[in-house]
Amino acid sequence: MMGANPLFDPNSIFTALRLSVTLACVTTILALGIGVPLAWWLANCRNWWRDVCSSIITLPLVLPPTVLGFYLLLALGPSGLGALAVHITGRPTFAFSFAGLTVGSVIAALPYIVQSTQAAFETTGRKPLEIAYTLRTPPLRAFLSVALPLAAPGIIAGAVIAFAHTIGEFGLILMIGGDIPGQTRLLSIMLFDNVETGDWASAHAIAGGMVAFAFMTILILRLTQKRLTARPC
Amino acid sequence: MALPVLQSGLSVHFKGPINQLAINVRFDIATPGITGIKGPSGCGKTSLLRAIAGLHHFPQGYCRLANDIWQDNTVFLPPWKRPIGYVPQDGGLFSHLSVKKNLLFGMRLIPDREPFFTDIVAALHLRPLLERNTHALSGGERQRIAIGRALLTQPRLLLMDEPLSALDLNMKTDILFYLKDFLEKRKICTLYVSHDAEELHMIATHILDWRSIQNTPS
Repeated sequence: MMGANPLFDPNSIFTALRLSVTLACVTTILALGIGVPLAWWLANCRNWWRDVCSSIITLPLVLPPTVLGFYLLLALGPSGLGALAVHITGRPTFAFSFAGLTVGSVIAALPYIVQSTQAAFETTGRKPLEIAYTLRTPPLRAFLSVALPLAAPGIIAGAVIAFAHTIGEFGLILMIGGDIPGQTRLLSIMLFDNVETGDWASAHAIAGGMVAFAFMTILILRLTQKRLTARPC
Repeated sequence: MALPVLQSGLSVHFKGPINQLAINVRFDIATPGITGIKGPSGCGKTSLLRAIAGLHHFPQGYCRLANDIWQDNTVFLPPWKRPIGYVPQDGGLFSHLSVKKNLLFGMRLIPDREPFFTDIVAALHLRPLLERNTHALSGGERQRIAIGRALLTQPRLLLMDEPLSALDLNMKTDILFYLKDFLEKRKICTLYVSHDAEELHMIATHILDWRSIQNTPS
């Protein structure tokens, strides 16, 4: 029965898979680039508005993804950043585009990276940096050669969770990306479509694959964290 | 060109609060040598060394080594620009690096300096530890590595905070002897903080009592 399903189309699954993985990679890299310096600042800042910033960054963890998606849709549309989009892409909006999806995913993924990285920086403390300073190492080099490698387990954990979360994001994506094959139709969206159209074979392939992926992610994370944190300080 | 007035030794004055402690310390050390500093624990000896290293900034302070002013009302040299070696009590090793990489952190191992590296590694009995990571080291091993790492940067001023407190007596005597010889030969000005009077007498050329360097009007 499954083999005879006329709706089952491996190619469209692969297209969606490629899109999901690309988005997760781009998102994770961008979120690392923004999140690690941000976490460093949060770990070392003593201003009262540190908590305000921290709360704003954490907001996507608590908000329903559709709420975040709603505001992003407005922000990315023609009345918001969409005006900028005309200049860059020639299209009147960032909404319903891969660029828009990326912006949304980075905002949604940021708290995972910031939280675990900030915790790692705070656990390491200032002492190793101070020792590096006394060994003629200026701040930027001390950060790169001491603070960053010591926080690596936390940064990696945050990045893996951010990656996996982006693969699984649904509400936010549907809100700002819509469902355009090859552009914004990610695996999670496709699964929803498959169920709606009764394409159970595709739905099983995607859902099963996602379970396997999620399990592997958590397992690999646990194993590597055990190795990386096996050092008593 | 007018010759600058040649000054030598270390001149220090720090005043201010730190960790609910009021520090007001002033002393001059005229000659290079090993100066022991003794005083009760918790009196601020570690804060003094940190301030000289530039890790703590007392707004009111003065610090000069020979002709170089590290801190006064207008100048504050950051720690990475001060030619110091700093050995904290627990060693302060980098847990993500091997022993060898810890030792080499402050120096670049160019062929010219290899004998220097080898000498210090041998004198501090570090050879069997070089390839190890820092996780399973004893307290004494950590302290020896920290001393080696500081010496390898060829400091002009060495700041040692209870550097041998975790060593057993035999090893302590052995290393004290080497350290004294090394520092005197190279004329490295050293501040050596310890609560152990015997240890101080073994290594120091002169000893400052914490009370005697208090800057209280008498």
